[in-house]
Amino acid sequence: MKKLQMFLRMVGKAFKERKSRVAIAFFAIVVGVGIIASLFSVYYDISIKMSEELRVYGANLVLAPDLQAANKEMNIEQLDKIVNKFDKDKLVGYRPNLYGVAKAKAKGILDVKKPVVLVGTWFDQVDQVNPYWKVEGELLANKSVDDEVVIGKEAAKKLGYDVGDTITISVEETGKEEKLIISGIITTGNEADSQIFVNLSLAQELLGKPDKINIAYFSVLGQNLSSKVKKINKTVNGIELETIKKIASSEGKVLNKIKSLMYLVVMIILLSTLLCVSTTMMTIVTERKEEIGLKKALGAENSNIITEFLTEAAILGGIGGLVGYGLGFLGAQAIGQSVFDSYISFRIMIVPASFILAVLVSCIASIIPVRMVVDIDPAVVLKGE
Amino acid sequence: MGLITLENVSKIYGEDVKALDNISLDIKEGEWVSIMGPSGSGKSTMLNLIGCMDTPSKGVVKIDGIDISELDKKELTKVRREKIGLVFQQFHLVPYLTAVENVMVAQYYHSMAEEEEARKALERVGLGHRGNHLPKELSGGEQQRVCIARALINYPKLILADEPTGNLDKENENIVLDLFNELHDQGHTIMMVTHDPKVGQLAERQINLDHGKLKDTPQISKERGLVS
Amino acid sequence: MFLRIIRRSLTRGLKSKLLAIVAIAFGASLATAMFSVSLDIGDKINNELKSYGSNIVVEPESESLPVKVNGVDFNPITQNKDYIPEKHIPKIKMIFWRHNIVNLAPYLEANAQLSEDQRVAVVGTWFDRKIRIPTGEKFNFGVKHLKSWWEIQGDWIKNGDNKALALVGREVAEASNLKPGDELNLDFNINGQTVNKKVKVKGIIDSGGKEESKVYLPLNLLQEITGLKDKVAKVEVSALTTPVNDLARRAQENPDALSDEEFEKWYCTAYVSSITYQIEEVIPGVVAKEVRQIAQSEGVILNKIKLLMFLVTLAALISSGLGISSIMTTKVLERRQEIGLLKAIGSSNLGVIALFVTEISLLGVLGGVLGYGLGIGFASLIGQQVFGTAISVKLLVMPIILVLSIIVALLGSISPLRIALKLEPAEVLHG
Repeated sequence: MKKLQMFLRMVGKAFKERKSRVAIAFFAIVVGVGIIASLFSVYYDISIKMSEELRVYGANLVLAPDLQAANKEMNIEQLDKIVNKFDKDKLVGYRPNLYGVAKAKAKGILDVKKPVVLVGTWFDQVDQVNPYWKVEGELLANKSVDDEVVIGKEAAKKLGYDVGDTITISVEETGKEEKLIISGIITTGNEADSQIFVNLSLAQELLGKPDKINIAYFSVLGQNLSSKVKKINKTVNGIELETIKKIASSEGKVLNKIKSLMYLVVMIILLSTLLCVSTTMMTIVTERKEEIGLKKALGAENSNIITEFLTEAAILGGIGGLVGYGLGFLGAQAIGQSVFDSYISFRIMIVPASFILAVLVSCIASIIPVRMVVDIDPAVVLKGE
Repeated sequence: MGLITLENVSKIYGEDVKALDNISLDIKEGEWVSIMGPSGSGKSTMLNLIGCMDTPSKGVVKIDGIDISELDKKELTKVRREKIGLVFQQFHLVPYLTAVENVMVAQYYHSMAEEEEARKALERVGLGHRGNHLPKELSGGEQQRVCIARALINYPKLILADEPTGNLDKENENIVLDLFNELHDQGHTIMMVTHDPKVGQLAERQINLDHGKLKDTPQISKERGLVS
Repeated sequence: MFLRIIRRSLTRGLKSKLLAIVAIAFGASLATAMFSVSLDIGDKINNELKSYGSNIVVEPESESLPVKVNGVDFNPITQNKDYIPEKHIPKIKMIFWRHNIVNLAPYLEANAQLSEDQRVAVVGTWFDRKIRIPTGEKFNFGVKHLKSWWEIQGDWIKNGDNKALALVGREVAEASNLKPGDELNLDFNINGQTVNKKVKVKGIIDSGGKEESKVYLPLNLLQEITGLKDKVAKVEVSALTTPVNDLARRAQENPDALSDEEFEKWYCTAYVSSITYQIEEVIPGVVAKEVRQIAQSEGVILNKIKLLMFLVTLAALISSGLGISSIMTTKVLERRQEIGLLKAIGSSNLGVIALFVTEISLLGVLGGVLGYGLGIGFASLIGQQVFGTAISVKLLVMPIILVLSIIVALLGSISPLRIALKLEPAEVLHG
């Protein structure tokens, strides 16, 4: 017991004595472990975060009637059924579409009616399902607005309309006609540019297709979407959910690249932390060469001195690891905030992991310094001739 | 059969640098021996050998009956720990430990760290009241006395001193040499390396080294006393 | 004499300096690797994101609005439609940013009857077409490369010029019960006349998209059937682009509103808007549009990943910098005696500093060069592992790493050098 006390006393005083040097080693470990901890936190979250980010590409699933369905239409209730099969927090958004051909009056020129594609949809879901739409003006405020319309940029240009104008839309088959105010013009770079959009309920009325939709787009988080899709398809009739391979499979590819990149990067940082701690420990050994020589001359065995050093390293590593974890967590949040605009989740696993990692790193880093200890000759304390 | 025996010991560095050349020597228990000689004469090499910090190239070095010639570093450390107390020219106290803790370090590596005993050892060298001071708060002489207390703490067979007064002024030198005298009177075996003839003369026997060889050993000075 | 000391110290003491050089080289190599990867990550991820497909479409300027639902055209006026001459397509590969054009494919659409009541959209395109541009370079363009996510059951059409072959969308295949190798009968209505064509199904397209309800034929074949020789209706282009910034946004609004200097800067940066502008320049009568789903999203993702890599690289630089600077501390500490000696024989503090600074700088250069070489190796390892292609070597990294190694090595030496210089020479020599 007394021996242990003396041991602790020596280690403790050694720390106190070399405050600045210990502080540097400590700093090195804190920085190293901090970086590692933050990268690990980010690494664990990166799939989720990046897949959230990749949702900027919009929908990755599409629901459509299967081939047997008449007119390629389905009921809106069928959509609800599918929606209920997804976890709320995984479903970023979904948007049903009903298509039909209508005629729109061109501005200025009397009685020139041009055929256009009329789309009924839910505008509140556009941000989630089509985040890349560029909107000039505004989208419709809610699902019950029935006197406003959003038109594609091409359509606006070719029909000669601007935001705020009134456009007359008529459907030949049903003979219905509506005067609508243009609340927004969208630019997408795809066929939506030449279509005109109204609320789903209004489109259903104009086209005479109550409760019908043609297609619905889903933006869903998570991997293994295709197996999930297969499972859902087994439970429904007349409709079919499908992954949009263009988005879904590319997402998988990109995610894998980023994950393996991060993995290698974490390894590199781990190496440079090792370098950092190791050279700092070497400095400590060099500085204390005489003291080590003295202790050896007084009868200390290599193992005694090495134990002292490793204990110092482990204590440094342990405390440094915890502080480093704290810093690393903050660092991860900084990365999360600046890169992903969201928090990186707290993982209790990383606390012991970074503690153990730090102790390990500082002990491994001490291998070369410890070998230097072994090489120190006790005779250094004697006056040379 | 003495406490320390050197039989035909040579130490050769590199190809042909003979630091010690076929030396035989015998030091008895309770004897005070001083080793003298100019620089390069082999003093330090001899100190290294007897201090169990090195092994001879040829010949046998026995300390308290143990032949150290064939021992490895670990075994050498053990012999040194058990048999030898070291006193250095530069004192070599651990700067961040107090006087009493510096004494305890030697106890610690030897066996047990007992603060009471360490304090008693300091009292023996007249530093009972300075136990809680750091080395930098002590004078040179006081530091050297802490060093001697540390050397004594494990009851070594031999006290090996390397120029113990080399870094001290006259006054402190006298205090330290008095202490050595006292120790000798109590029956300790002392081996002291010095280049100061006055200090050397205090010993019962002087060994003169020159170019690794023993010069004819001068008479044992019967008259011992303080040189002031 | 100064040089002589340095030379001796470097040649004789090389063994003891080996550790320092190795440490510097190691640190520098990690920094180089991270740096190179970070600089190249934009291009690499950009290439990866190309798997999302084309980000630019080129269409003829036209007055009429397309009225298509599910690929079937409801527009009553089919005459006087505008087209792009096929012979102009290679010009896209000759614009200022030609090297950023990764791939492209032209399309021509027509409607056909599969049976009495089954109408289907038929698309003519390039599958894997070798084209030669006037500079003599050859490229393989077509949907096979552009639509990397298509899964083909059966085979791709290899060089299907004029051969009566077809790729059929999954929905069409299921509806008509078609398998690869079957024959497909298509009735086209060309200007009121029915033209019948039998084609052999080479493969079935599974894409999870609109393609599944279409039939794909070689472009020449459809041109011949429809009598639209040398005409295409649309070209999809996949280009490597730089994420948009404020300048690009303003240019997109109206390129003419930019000052000459701004215009030049915009024109010479691979923004999607400058590429579309350049396409419109080389082919008269077309509109090149960005596909926002791809182009905008690409920019968002690219910026995120670049930022991420930047932060991570910074972290790597800090931690290897700390490593290098502390090894230098060790090395200077070890030489306290030498410093004392130099001072004892009359060197001024400045003299000692000059000696050490020179020596440390040399070490820094040596370690930095070694580390740079090693780091390039590391970087290409990462490139191979992650992206399957080497990371491009940027010469810019070399001087930066060298300067950084020297600075960091010197920084690490400052504090021990100061301590050593403060000591009295005698004290050092004795202790």
